[in-house]
Amino acid sequence: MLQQTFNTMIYAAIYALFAMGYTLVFGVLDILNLAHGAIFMIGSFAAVQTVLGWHWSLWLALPFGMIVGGLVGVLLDLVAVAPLQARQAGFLTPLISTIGAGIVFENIALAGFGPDPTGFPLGTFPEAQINIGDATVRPVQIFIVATAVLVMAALTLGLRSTRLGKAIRAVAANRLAAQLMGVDVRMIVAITFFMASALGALSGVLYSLNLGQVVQWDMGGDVQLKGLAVIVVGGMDSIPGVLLGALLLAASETAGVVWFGSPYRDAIAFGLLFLVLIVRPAGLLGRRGLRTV
Amino acid sequence: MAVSAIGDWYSANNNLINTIGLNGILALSIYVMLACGQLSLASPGYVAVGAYTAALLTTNTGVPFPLQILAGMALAGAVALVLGLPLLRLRGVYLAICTVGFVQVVYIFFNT
Repeated sequence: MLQQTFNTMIYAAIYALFAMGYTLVFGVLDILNLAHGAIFMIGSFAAVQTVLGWHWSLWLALPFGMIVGGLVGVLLDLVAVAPLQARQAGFLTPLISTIGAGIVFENIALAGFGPDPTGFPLGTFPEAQINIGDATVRPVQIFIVATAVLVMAALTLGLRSTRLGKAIRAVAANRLAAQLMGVDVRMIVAITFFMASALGALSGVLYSLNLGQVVQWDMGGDVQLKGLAVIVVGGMDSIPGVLLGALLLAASETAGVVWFGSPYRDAIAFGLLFLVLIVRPAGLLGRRGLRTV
Repeated sequence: MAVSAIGDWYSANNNLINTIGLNGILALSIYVMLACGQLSLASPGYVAVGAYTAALLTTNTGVPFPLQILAGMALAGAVALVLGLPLLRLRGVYLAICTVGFVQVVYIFFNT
């Protein structure tokens, strides 16, 4: 039982970091960034590449992966989102164009790194077995949970009290009003994309650190669905909702693996998503009502 | 002479022509939903259902090919109906999310 609690926390941390990227972009732009899974993959590849190919230490590789992911996010905004926003294209076209951008990113990774999975070499993070009661935890897993908690706390505080955070919330609340008050909306949107994508990349690096040889061009597909489940469960634009959704999803997955076996881990995310959408489409903590076309 | 030139051209571009045809049908399937103002991304899931139905019929029974096509279409349609009835309440982004999830589940189902 203790072991299951730990597993839940580790996955919740990774899902929450990933889904936070969705929430930031959806909160500010009202669009769903379906290339987020591809950015998760790109961040992982960037960090693994520096460790495997250039023998960097993990402490350089981690921020490098985040910066590369963030820059790809800005590129995504410039190429696939901003031109459509300028034309008042609604929510549907950017959604489709981000799917397309995600496919392009995945195929670039496939062409550049080949189809075989890779990952951080063993010992990138000091390995040990820590026994707590009858449960076993690895140091890297403690690091993952601690990082997630720190990053989420910093993000919440930053959004609440810094000048940038206030500008982001202003754009999210009312784009036009923010612009009239002198907020550089284009810049804020680009910064939001950078932050969201850096979080996705961070989540990818932590995920690969935990699981080993999983870095592969299509690794974003599963986590994409899980991130969607998390934001739907929590409410599309609520940060506490992301935490709650991530915990709920991770807990039901852990329980599902115990009861039904591991192949159905990914189906559980869909089941949860489906259930919440049918029963309470605005999400558990969503503040806005159901958006209609 | 002319006929063989056309034959050569066809066999050289065979793959391209087939892909254009297949993607055209797939795009139509998404277009039908878009015509009602909704984006459904579930089509790849129906592709899998139809393809598996026809392929399993070929390997396990002697059903003629046109019937296989019909059976694949009918089964995919039935799956869509079962999925669609509860999803009819959803609109916009939410429908898109749910249908993306459906495709992932079909993928898992056929993999296990």
